[in-house]
Amino acid sequence: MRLTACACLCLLATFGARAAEGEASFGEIQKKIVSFTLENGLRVILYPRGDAPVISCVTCVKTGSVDEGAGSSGIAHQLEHLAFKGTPHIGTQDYAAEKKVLDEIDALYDKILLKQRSLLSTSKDALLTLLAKLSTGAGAEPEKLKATMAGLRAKWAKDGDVLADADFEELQTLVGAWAAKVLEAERFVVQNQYSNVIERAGGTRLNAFTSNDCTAYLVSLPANQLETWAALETDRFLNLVPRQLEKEKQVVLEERRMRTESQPFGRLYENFLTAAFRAHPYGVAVIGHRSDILNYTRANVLDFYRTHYTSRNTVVVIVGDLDVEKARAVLTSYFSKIPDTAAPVEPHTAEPPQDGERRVEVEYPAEPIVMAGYHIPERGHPDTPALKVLTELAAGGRSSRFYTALVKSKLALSAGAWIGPGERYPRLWIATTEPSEDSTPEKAEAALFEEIERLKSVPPTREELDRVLASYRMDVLRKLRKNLSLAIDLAEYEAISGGWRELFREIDAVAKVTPEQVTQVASKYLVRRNRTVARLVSTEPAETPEILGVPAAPPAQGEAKP
Amino acid sequence: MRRAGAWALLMLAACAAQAAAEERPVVPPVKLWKDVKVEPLKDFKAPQPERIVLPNGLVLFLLEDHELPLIECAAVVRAGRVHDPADKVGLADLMGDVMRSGGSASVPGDELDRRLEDMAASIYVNIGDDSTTAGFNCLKEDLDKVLALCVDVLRRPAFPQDKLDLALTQERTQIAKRNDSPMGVAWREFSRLVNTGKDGKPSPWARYPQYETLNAITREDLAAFHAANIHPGRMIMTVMGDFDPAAMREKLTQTFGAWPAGEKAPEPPPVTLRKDEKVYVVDKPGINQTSIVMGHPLEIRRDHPDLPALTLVNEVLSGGMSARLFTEVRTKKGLAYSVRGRASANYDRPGLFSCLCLTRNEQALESIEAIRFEVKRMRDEGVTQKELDEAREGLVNSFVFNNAEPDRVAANVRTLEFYGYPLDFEKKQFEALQAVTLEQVNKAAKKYLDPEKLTMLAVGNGEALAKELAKFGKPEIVDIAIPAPPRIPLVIDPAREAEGRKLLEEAVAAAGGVKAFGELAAIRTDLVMHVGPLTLRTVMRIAVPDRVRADVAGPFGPVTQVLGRENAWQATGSWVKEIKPDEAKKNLRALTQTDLGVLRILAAGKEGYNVQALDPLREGGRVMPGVLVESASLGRVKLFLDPATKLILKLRYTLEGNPREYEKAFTGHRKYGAYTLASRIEDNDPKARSKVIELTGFTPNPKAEDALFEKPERATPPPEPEP
Repeated sequence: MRLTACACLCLLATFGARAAEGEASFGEIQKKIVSFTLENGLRVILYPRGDAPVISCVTCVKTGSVDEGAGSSGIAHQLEHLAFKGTPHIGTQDYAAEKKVLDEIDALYDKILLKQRSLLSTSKDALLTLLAKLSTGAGAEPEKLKATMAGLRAKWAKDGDVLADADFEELQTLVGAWAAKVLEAERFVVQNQYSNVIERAGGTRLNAFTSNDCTAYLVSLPANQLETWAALETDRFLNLVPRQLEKEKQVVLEERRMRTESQPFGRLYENFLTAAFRAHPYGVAVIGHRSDILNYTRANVLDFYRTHYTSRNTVVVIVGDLDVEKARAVLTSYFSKIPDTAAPVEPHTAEPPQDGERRVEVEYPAEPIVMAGYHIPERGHPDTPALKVLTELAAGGRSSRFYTALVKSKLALSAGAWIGPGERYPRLWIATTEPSEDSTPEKAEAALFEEIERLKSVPPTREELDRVLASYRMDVLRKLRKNLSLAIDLAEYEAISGGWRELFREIDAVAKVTPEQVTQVASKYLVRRNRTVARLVSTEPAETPEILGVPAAPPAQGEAKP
Repeated sequence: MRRAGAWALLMLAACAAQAAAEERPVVPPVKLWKDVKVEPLKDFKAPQPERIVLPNGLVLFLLEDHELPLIECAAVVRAGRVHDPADKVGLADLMGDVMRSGGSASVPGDELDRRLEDMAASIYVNIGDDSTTAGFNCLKEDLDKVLALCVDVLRRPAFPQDKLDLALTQERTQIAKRNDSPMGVAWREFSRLVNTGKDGKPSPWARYPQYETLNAITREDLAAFHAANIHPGRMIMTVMGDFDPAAMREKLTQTFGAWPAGEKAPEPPPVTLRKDEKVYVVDKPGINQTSIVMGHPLEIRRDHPDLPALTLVNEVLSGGMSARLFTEVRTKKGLAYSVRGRASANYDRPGLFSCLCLTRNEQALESIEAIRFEVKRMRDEGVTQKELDEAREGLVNSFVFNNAEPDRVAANVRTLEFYGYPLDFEKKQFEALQAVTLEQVNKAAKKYLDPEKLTMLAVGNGEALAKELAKFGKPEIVDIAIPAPPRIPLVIDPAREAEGRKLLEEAVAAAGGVKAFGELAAIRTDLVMHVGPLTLRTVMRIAVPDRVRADVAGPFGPVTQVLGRENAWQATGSWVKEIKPDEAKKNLRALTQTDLGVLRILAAGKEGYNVQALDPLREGGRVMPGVLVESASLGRVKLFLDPATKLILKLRYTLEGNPREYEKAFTGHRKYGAYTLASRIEDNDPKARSKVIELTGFTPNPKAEDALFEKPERATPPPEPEP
C-alpha cells in the first residue's frame, strides 16, 4: 500500500503541472492510456485508473448536426433519442410480429406524407402533429378523429388547399388505419427496457448527447458489467429499431421548447448562429427546425443511422477500474461485429468569407444579452493554439481582461469568451456579456469591443501567458480525476479533435504560443467585417416599439393576411 | 383550387421510394445482454477519512488520495441564508461574495485573484440555506501559499466598500433577471407557496432578496455576520488529496489551533409547510411551454425507519429512465422531455415530495392529470414485487458509486458530521434497504403520498392556463412582479438647494426664458423618430397642459393616438380602440421626459419643487453641472447642463415600479423662434434598443382645435410640415 503511494509520487514528479521544458505534458498518464484500432476501423481507448470497482463507458460517433443536410435538421439528435428504444432483442416482446406491423405503419405513413407534402397550407404540419398525438393513444376515437380531420380540412381550405371529397376520405382512412396500427405496434413494446437493464445493472448517469460534430452515449457502471454493456452497445449499433418515433418527436419538440424557445440564451444563440453561418450547417441548431422534426420517417432515421453509425466513424472509451487485457479481449470480440462499411461523405459546403458586419436582434421578454462572433478556422489549423490562448486571456478567471474591464467595473454581470459551435469545420470565436443593472447593452457592448481591440494592440505579458498555461494544465489535471468526464473528453478528442493525445498535446502547443502570435491572430480574425453581433432586446410580449408613448406600428388585431 | 401540380407529386413519390430503407438482416451481438455472465464485483473498501477534533472544536477529516498532485479543502459552518435578518435578506450571500472578492487587508481582492490564478488555484465561499462552505483547490506544491491565503479570507476578510458595491450591482442584476428562466420561476414560487412562514411573513426557507433589502445592507453588516458565524467551534473541515497525513495534521493544528472557538451556532428557524390541494398560476407571457411543479410536504427525516421503504417508492415512481413517471408521461404519452419526481428527506427538518414537468401550454392539464394519476396509483396500489426487486437491484448495484470518488466521500462525511449523524449512516441505510419488504414499501407509499393534497403550480401563458386548469376552480394568480425599491425621501442641503435653483433658472433662461415658456398654450412639434430599423415621421400636437394628439406615419399605414381630457384612444386605418387610463398616464408622463417638457413645467412654476445641486457629471472631457428636481408632474429627475450655455444636455429619470435609471441625451441645440431646444434626443433605454428623435419643426401656439383631441374616427397620416 505504502509502496504504491510512493511510486505514484515519483511518477507525478514527471507530469506535474509545471512540466520541464521540452518534456511532453502528462507523459506518464499518456503511457497508461491504451488505444488500439479494430480490423473494422473502430477505435478503442482504455484508461485504467482508480481504486473503486467502477467504470465509465462512452461511445462517440463522429456524426452530428453538420452531417444532416437540408430538410433533415435534428435527425442526428432524434436518432440519439431513438437509440434508447432498443433492438430486435431488447424493447420488444415479439420482434417478428412487431416488425410486420412496423412495416405496415411505414407504408401507411409514406402514403400520408405524400398527400401531406402536396399541400401548401402553412398549417399542413398540423397533420403530423395530429399523428404524433394519435400515436399516444389520444384522440383516436372515430368520432373525435373525424372532427379533428374536418377541422384540418377547413383550415387548409382557407389557405387555398381545397381537398376533393374522395381525396379527403382517402386521407382520413389512411390516418385512421395508421393510428390503429401504431397502437397495435405499441402492444409489443417493452417500455424503456434498455434503460431498465442498465439501471438494474447499477448504471448511473445514463445519458447521451448530440453536438454539431458528434453524438455520444454515456454511462457509468460497476466494473463487472463491462461485458453486459458491450453486449447492449454493440446490439444497438448493429440492429437499432427506431420504435415509437412519432411520440419521441413530441418529446424532442418539448426539449426544443425547453432549451431554445423558452430560454433567453437559447433563443439568442440559435438566432446568432443562423446569422453567422449563411451556408455552412453550423448555422442550423443541433436540435433541428420544428418542421423538420415533424417530418422524418422511420426510413429517414434508419438511413441516417446506417450511413453514419459505421465502425470507422466510432470510438469506444472505457475509463476506470479495468484489466486492460481482459477489456481489450471483450471489446475486440464484441465491437468487431460492426461491419466495416464505407465512411460517410463529409459535408462540403463551406462558409464564404463575410462581407461586412451582421447584426441581429431577438426580441424577447428577458434581460438583455450581447453576443459577438468572429469566423475562425477549424480546430486543426495552426492558428488554433494562439486562439485558445486568446480565449483564456480574454475571459479565463477573475483577473482576465474581460472580467476586469466589464465585471469588476460594474458594466456587466458576466463576460465570457469561447470557441464554438464545433471543432471539425471553421467556426467562431465568440464573446458574450450580460449588461448589469448599472449599465446598458450599448455600454457593455462598447466596453467589450474596446477590450477586443486591446487584444490586438496589447500583447499578453509573461504573467498573463503563464496564468493561461497554468489554468490549462490544471483543467487537464482535474479532468483526470473523474471517469466519466475524462472518458467523454478522450472520446471527443479521438472522434473529432485530431486524436485523444491532443488533449495533452494541446498544452504543449499552448505553451509555445508567443505574445506576438496572440496579437496576430486577434488582428487577423477579430475584425468588424468578420463579425456577427446578436442582441437580446428586452421586449414585453407582443409589444410594439413606442416613442413618447406612441406606438410605431399598429399591434396586430385579428388574423394577419399574407 | 389545388395549387400543387402533378409533377410535384411525382417527384415526391420518387423521394418517398428512395427514402424507404432497405431490409437488413439482424446481426446478433456476440452474446445477448441477458446471456452475459456477470462476475461478482471486486470487494471494495471505501477510503476512510481520519477524524481529528482540535481543542477549539474544529472537526477535521483527512483523506489521502495520491493519484494526482492536488489538494482540496472544504470547511462548513452552520450559518446561511435562513439567518438573514428579515429586512436584510441577501446578507449571507453578499457576505460570502465579498469575503472572497474583497480579500484581506494584507492581500486585497484583485491581488488575491492574480496570486491564485498564477497558481491555477481557487478559493471559494458558497452560501447555502443553512450552511456556508469555504475552501480551496490547488496543486500540492502550492499548498502553503494557498492555505495562508485561505486562512486570511476565512479569518480576516476586509469587506471593502467597492467590492460590496460591485456585489450589490451583481445582486441587483440577478433580481432583474430572476424571472427570465421559466423553470427558475417555477421552483422559486413553488418553494414560496409550500413554505408558508409565520404571521404573514415569508418563511426564512423561501425568501429572496429585494432591492429594498439589499439597500439596507452595509459593510458593517457583512463584518458582523462574519464575526458571529465563521468560527472553528462550529466548523467541519475536510482536506483531501496528495499529502502526508501526519504532516498535514501538524500543519492544520498549527494553522487553526489558536483560532478562538467562537459562539455556539444559532439554531436554524423552524420550517412551516402548507399542505392543501390548490392550483396556482404564474403568468409568464411570450413562452410556449408551461413549467409545472406539484408536490406536498413530507413529514419524515433521513433517520426515520420508514426512509428505506420510501426510497424504494421514489425509485419505482421516478428513479430514472425506466421509472413510472418517465415511462408514462414521457415515453408513452410524449407529453414532456423533462419529467421528474422526488421524495426528498432532510437531515434535520421536514422534506418535500415534488414532481416537475415541462410541457406545451395546451397540455398542462393533461400532464398534471397524468402525474396525479401516477401518484395516486402508487399510493393506492403500491408497487409489484417485480418492480420492487428491480428497483432494489439497481440501488444495490449502484451503491458502489456512493464512495467511488474521494471528493464524494469527503462531502458525505462533512454532511453527516454537520447534522450530527453517525458516519456509518449510509452503510446502515443500505443494509436496511436490502431488508425492506413489499408490505413496508406499500405502507410507506400509503403513508407519505397524498395526491389529494398537492400544491400545483403552472408557469406559462396565464390566460390560457386559467382556462386549461378551470376544472380545479379558479386558479390563484401568483404575482412575480419585482417590487421596486421605495423612493428614499430627499434630504435637502440648503446650500445645495440654492445652487440648484440658480442652475434651473439659468437652464430656463438659456432655452428662452420663463415668459416664453409661460406663453405656450399649444405646441406643434414635427418629429422624425428612429426606432431600430424604422424611421417614422410624426406630428405631435399638445394643448397645454395635458391633451395630446400624435399622428405617426407607421410602416403599415398611419397610427393616431389621442390623449383627451377624459379618455384616450388609439387608431389605425381600420380600427379605433380605447387606451387604458394607466397606459395613457404613462404616455403622458413620457412627454415630461424631454427638454421641452421639463422646461415647460419648470417655467410654469405651479408646483412645489424640491431642488438640490448634484455633483457635476464628467463625460468626454466635459464637466456638466447637475441638478435634481422633484415635483408632482416630473417625479424625480436629474438634469445635467452645458457648462457654458446652460442648455440641458442630459436628463436622467426613473419610472414607477422600476428601479432603473433611464437617460436621455440632448444634442444639436437650435433656435426655434424664441426657443432653443435640442434637435436630437437620444433615448438610452438601458434594456431595449435605443431610439433617436429628431425635432424637425417646432411651432409655438398654432391655432388649437379642440376637435383634434376628440375620439378619432380613424388614423390620419401626419400633416405636412408647416412652412
